[in-house]
Amino acid sequence: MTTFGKLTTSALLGLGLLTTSLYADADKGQRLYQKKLKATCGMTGAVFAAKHTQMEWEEAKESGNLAEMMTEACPEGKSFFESGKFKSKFEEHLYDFVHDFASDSGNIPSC
Amino acid sequence: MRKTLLSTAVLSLFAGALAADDASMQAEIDALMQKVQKLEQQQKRTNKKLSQVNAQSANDNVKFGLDFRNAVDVIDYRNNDADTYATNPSLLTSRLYLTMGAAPTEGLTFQGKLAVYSTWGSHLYVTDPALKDWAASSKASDTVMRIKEAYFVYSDELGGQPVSVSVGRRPSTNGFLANYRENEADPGSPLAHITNMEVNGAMVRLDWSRFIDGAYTKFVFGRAHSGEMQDVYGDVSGARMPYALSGGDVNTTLEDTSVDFFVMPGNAYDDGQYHVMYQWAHIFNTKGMKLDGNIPKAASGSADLFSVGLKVSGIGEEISDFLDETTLFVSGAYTHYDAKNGYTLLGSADGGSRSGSSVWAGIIIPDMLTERGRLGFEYNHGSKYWTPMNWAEDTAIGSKLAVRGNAYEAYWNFDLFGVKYLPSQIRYTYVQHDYTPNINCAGWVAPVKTDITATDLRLAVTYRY
Repeated sequence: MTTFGKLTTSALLGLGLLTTSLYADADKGQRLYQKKLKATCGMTGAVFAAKHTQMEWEEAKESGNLAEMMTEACPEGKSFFESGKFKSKFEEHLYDFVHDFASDSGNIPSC
Repeated sequence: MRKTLLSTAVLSLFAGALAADDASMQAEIDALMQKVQKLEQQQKRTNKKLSQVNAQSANDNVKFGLDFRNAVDVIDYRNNDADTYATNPSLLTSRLYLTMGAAPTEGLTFQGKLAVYSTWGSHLYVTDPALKDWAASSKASDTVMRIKEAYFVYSDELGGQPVSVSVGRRPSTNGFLANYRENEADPGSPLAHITNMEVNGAMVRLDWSRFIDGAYTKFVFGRAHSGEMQDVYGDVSGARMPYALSGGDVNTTLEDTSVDFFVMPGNAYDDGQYHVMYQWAHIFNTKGMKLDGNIPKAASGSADLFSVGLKVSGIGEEISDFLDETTLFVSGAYTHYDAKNGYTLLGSADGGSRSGSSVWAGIIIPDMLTERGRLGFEYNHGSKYWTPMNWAEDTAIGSKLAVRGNAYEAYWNFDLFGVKYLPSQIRYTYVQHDYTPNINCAGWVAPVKTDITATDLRLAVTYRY
């Protein structure tokens, strides 16, 4: 490898490791919905997310009622939304997903 | 008695005062309640308005997105038979995608992607033979902005059967399984193992998910190549082209006729963890050699391409975060070229056929260093006559999926500075060509034994929003 290549690789390797921020992941939320809820809820993730507006999802999250609101949108998923794992592992990602595809998000499904 | 009277009088006074206080307090409470109700109504109206503004700003207009990638490729080719080599220590490129989307009403959407993919210091306008319409925005060239994708989709139900129709320049590159190596979350429409080209087509999609999880089939008819035009006015300057060939679109002296295709990609099953996709592509009049006169690029016969791929997103069921975030895939593909009498394809006998096959396997795991970083490892093997339509694949040394030999690839996808809007990649591709590489539409070229290795180290940083 040339010096140029080595230098660039080293720089990117170093910069890539400067990843300190933690954040939820809408893509992961979408996968989680598809894997764990789609069959149970009987609707696509896009339909589920569009049950509420972005502000309604936000308010539910801030007031700690996200599980209740999601249960309202998908009663069959009650046990999932009330589980400990939902709160500890899935809530952030699912929230990011439903917020991204809320009824007033303007996000457009692909082909 | 006097004491009792006094006490009664005092109590009456207190009671009166309390009653008066209660009344005024109640009045105040009532007034406050009215105010709260008004505020609630106002809040509802504000929220409703805000949602309308949200929807209007995004739904009723074209929504734009950006994907701006800068990359350096370190390239090395070695012909081990001839003991020659060629290198490029720093191919610098910039690729700008301007994405567009609009949904003016429910069930009707438009998607578009304008692209500039240039080499640094390139010519303003490049007309290299390799720069065909099918790879115009997928291969680095000049600074001209071109249309990479533009199509609309209309979705409805017919007797309870969900149906979508679409026309336009298709999202037909970086499809199923190729999106990982391209560091893209969503794949394009086709199976990249056999189709990775920019094409125009019309599509009908039938959804079977009522019967099988995630199942659907698309039926696409399109054109991958337009035949040459001939001047019928006797204007030797060739300035007036009639969009036609003398003698029609077949049997001309040029033999360079249009190439149409029918493709049927689909989901066989997708439950979010296990995802099986399939595709059959039939190419009408694929290019080969006409034996009488040795005319290349002739309409020489048909080609059929098949592929089936399995992707597993997450190993097991919540065994560990690492396994949950691991993706495995394997794909098999087969190509069959069938020449007409008087023609050959890929060096076949007169009117003969050639078949090839390929396997592609990969694993993508968390990098265990960063929040969203992933390491990917892929392997490809293709046989002597393996000939997919992958000419728009974005690998600077040519399609590694089309390798007639073996290819190995490793990549690290990560977010620069931990910012998800700066997806970046370090990728190393090693390709061993055992037979003539399939690098372009060249069905008239017979694969012969070679020993060529090509490597590409790519470092790329993208701004994506």
